[in-house]
Amino acid sequence: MKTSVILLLLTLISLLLQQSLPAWPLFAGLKPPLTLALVVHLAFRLSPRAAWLATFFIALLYDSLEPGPLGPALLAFPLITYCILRHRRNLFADGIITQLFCGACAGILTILSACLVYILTNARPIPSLTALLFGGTLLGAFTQLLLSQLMLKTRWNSKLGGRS
Amino acid sequence: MNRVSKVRNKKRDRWRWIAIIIGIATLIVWPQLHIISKKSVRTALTPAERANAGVSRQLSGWATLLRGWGGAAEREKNLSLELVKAQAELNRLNEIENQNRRLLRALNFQQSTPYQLTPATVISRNISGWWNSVRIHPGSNKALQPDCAVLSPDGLVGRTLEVNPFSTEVLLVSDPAFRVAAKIRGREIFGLVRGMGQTLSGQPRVRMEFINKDTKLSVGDEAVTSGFSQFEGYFPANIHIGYIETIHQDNAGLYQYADIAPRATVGLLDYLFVVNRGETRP
Repeated sequence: MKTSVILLLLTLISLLLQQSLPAWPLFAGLKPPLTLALVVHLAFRLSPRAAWLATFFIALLYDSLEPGPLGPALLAFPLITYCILRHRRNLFADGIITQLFCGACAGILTILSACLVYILTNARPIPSLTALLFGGTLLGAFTQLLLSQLMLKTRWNSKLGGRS
Repeated sequence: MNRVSKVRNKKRDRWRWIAIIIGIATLIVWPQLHIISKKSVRTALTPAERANAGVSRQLSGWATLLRGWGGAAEREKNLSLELVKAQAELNRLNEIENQNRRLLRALNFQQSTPYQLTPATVISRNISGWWNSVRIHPGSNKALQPDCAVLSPDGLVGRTLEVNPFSTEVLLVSDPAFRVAAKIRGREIFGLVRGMGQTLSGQPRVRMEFINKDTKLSVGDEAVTSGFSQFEGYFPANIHIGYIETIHQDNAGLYQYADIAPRATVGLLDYLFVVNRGETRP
């Protein structure tokens, strides 16, 4: 129960904070993906069942706050969680390189899934895929590092039932 | 026995995966589910977003206050604490005065336009950065509808996209998915205005395309809505969009296009107005 409340609070804070942050024109107008970083962080630490539930819940909230069709997060977030759950035994979750790498991969996957959904549904034109991938990778990597390091330093991390 | 249970588990896992994939596909493909999901999430989050917007405004006010404090301390190191406090208080009062002026301007604008306008407050912005959009309060509870023009005292801001019970998504004029029929004020020169995203410095970019190549345009010409958009009435004619900055010839030589500097989306958008469907004041 306590974990669920903390997860809900973390999700709400990350969503509201990400909405409030300004878009960075240098990174193709993207915003630091705090919610995505939270999903990656949780996938490393929660039990598979809890990780899946949290992922779907966060993805649904995320997509519902976006204009246009549902899909970009609903496709990308579960895929990211699946990959992490599959390989997390072999990864050192608290390592800076792991966090940078996972954040970058998650950023790329999210951009690609959004492109796929927007192209298939014809919801909006895609301005420049290269710039988006560049921005998504860098922002994903550094946001992941920042959030993971911050979470490791807080007591919330242990309350989530972390492995580390 | 163990093998049997393993096979059973494997089968159960497979069915679970199939159910998850079908669930996601249904959510993505079924428009009714989109609407229900979005409306319920946004309605549930509206109070949190409004509170967050209020906190953000407070924080920006305090930041102004602190800036004044720090600046004053730097400028006059020997000034007493009282003087710095007075400076900070003055900054706070200036901020209040500015806000008052903005609100008064908005009120005058609302009273002077011929359209029936619904005032709205910006409660949040787009989450991922993919879309140039903001969310405003109210929504369908004040009879707002999709595809209505959204204005500020500076001109066209965008159009309403998705209307929820207590909030409305507004697609800004700088978004690449935004399009509106436009013309040059006072002349019979027509074109299509569409968003081009933002420059590296964060300024919105808008372009007027498909302008007859034989017409003579000049820098500084004012682009306004033509009223010929698909949903006539939502985009009344002669709403200011921006002024022409540069003029270009299309590569194929079939038409010319002009880059426009929109004024309405440059500043912080706090207070906006939605043009009500087909209603004009006498």
